[in-house]
Amino acid sequence: MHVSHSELNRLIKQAFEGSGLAQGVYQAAATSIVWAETHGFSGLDIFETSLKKVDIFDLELTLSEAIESNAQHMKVTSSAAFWGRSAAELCIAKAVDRGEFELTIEGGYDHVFMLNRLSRAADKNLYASLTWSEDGRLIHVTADAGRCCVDYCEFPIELNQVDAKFKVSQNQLAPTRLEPQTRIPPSEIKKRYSRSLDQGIEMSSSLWNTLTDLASNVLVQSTEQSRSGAGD
Amino acid sequence: MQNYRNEFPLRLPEVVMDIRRLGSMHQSRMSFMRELVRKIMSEQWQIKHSIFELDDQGFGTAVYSIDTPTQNYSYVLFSNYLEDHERNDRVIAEKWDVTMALCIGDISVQQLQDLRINVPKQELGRYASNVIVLSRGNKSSRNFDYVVEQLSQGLQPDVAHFIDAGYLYRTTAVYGSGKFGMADWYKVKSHCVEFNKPFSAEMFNCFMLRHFSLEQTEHLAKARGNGKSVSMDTQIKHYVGIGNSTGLGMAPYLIRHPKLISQWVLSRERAIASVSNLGEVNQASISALEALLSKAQLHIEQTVVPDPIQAGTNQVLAAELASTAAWLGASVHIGTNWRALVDHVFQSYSIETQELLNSLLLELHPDLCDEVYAHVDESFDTSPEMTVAELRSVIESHYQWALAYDFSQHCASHFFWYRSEEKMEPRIGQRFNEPGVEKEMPLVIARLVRQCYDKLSDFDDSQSIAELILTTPNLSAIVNRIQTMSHQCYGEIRGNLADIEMRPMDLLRCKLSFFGVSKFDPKSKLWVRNTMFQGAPLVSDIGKPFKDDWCFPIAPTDPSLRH
Repeated sequence: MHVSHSELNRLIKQAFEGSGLAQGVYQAAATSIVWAETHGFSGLDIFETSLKKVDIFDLELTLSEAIESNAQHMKVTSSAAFWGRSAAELCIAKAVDRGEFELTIEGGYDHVFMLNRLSRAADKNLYASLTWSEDGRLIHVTADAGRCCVDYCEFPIELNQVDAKFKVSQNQLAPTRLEPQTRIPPSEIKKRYSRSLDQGIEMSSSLWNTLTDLASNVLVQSTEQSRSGAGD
Repeated sequence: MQNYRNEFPLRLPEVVMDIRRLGSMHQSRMSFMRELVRKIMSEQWQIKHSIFELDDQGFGTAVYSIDTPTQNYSYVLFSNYLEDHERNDRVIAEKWDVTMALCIGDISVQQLQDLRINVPKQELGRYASNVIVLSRGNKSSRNFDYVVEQLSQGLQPDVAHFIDAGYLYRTTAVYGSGKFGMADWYKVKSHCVEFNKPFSAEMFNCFMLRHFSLEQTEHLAKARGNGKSVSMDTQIKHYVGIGNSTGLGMAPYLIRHPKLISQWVLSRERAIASVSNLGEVNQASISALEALLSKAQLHIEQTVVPDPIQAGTNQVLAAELASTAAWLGASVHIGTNWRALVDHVFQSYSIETQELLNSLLLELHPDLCDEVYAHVDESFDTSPEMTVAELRSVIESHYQWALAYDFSQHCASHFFWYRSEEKMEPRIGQRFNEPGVEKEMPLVIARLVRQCYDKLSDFDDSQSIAELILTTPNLSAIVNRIQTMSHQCYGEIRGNLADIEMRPMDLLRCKLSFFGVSKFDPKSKLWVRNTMFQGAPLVSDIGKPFKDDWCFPIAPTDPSLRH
């Protein structure tokens, strides 16, 4: 079915809210998913698959599991998706303070939902990169300070397990020396967004129904007394 | 033009954003409807129906083609039979007299068919991405049949009917901004220059319903009149607006869009400051203001409301406008600008009168009003690197008003806001004796600020906000808001939305005044009827000389129009 950006954002927020997440958390999760979808990274397909995998709504427990920290580097563990928001904010804060900071994420999945955090760093006039491995590919995405869109590259790798890394710096990051197998430049990503804004988003009815069910948890049963609370 | 903008001190946020003052605001030349009408008239939009297939009962389909200098649009309306007992202005209604959609471009036969299936269903329908507004309306039971009957018999309707209720139809909901698959606001903003200001497409939808209501009544009168029917007198047509019913659904918007609200208020406050200090006082401008005061007074006297509180407020307002005019006529110390008058009214009269005077002064000096409502980036600009000590300081300096409430008192937490399972209608409940409080909407900003402030004591002053959020993610939303809004002049409404004395009406009235409505007619403290576009130019006026003076409309004085 056909939905708009804002409608999708609203529905995901309410679904997460209906699942018991706090306001700032569900806002960030919805923004991440909609960003990935509207910029051409199959956000909804990945999200629908994630919904079937594990209890993705436990993300906050995972977020607080910072296990090691030093001056310019921190490692966190994750067993779920959407872990990135708070950790990325911390990374940005540290980079502002110390010039550069890197976060290593052990475990976790669906790192695509952290891509919008790169734009967030760029908005703060910082350089940022996110690297992770997936299906025999190394994915390296960068954002330049002040640029509104990211640069996406894929490289073939033999080692399948590489910890994801989110790096933020006040200085331009060194470019990779490898030739990417696939590259989606910022201009193309921007076009994808414009197309999506113009035409809307196609989503599966099953995902729509799942989210609508979850969202219904925020609604209060209507009674005669409650109707008086709307002016009757 | 912009050089004067910061020359004069603006009113303080604790004055302007006080919830009672916001609930006393009036339309002005900066209101969205006024701006829209100026645009329609100056660009000479071409509006004509391409389909007008109504039967002798007035039921059927109308499609209007709207040509602007850069784009054309289609306004599609379906008029259906409705039993009297089914007519309900609440969001939870399921049938309406008319349902409408505003679309980008011409529509094909196939899309018209799709719209015919979906538009009458309103929230239950799905819409293509070229649909930018969806709406519905109900006939005025007081006026519609009476007007048709009069016109069909060759008689004009008595103007007194429109003093009581200045419309033939009321809109009961107007949806835009990506609802139900429609075009996102960002698409409208970038693709439709005609409607790239907040709510301008929604306002235009109401303008078109007014036009349709006039055409439909004349169509019906002709069908029933056996050759005797007449067209409505043009003076009366101008005095016919469009009704509107607004309930709690509008209130959360003001809380969720604080940067936008800040921009709206800031633009208005800059204009007020400029006009108060730079508006030249001379005999001509005094005479113009006296005429405006007199017109506004009559408009208020012609605002018929059954609600005793609003009726009393209107009485005081009318009397104080008369006193203001008298002071103006007698004052020898008026000075060279309006400052003395503004100060006098501020010290002597009610908030309603103070705000109405501001609106009238803006009428006098269009050249000193800001370019209306610049675009706003509504994202929150957060600072994860800020320390806990800095955040505490920000709260103490910008949110002292919020810390002043004592939420341990039951009366300060009396209400909670929630969404009902009936069409997700926003409602308020009593916290201590109604179910659903665990599903409360996070709209009580003062309490959220207090909770955040109290929690800060669990952290070291030197810790960053990012660290705080990492371990206490449920604070992230309010922290982001505090950080963002500390850079905004206005935007946070100074009130406790859970308080037992809270009047949601104040929030509705604030937003409606920015829209430009008039004749507030509260039906309870939770919803209000009002009138839009009363006195505005007609579609047939487009292309003729236009004087932008249709504010505070008064009934035609021609004795032949009074029965």
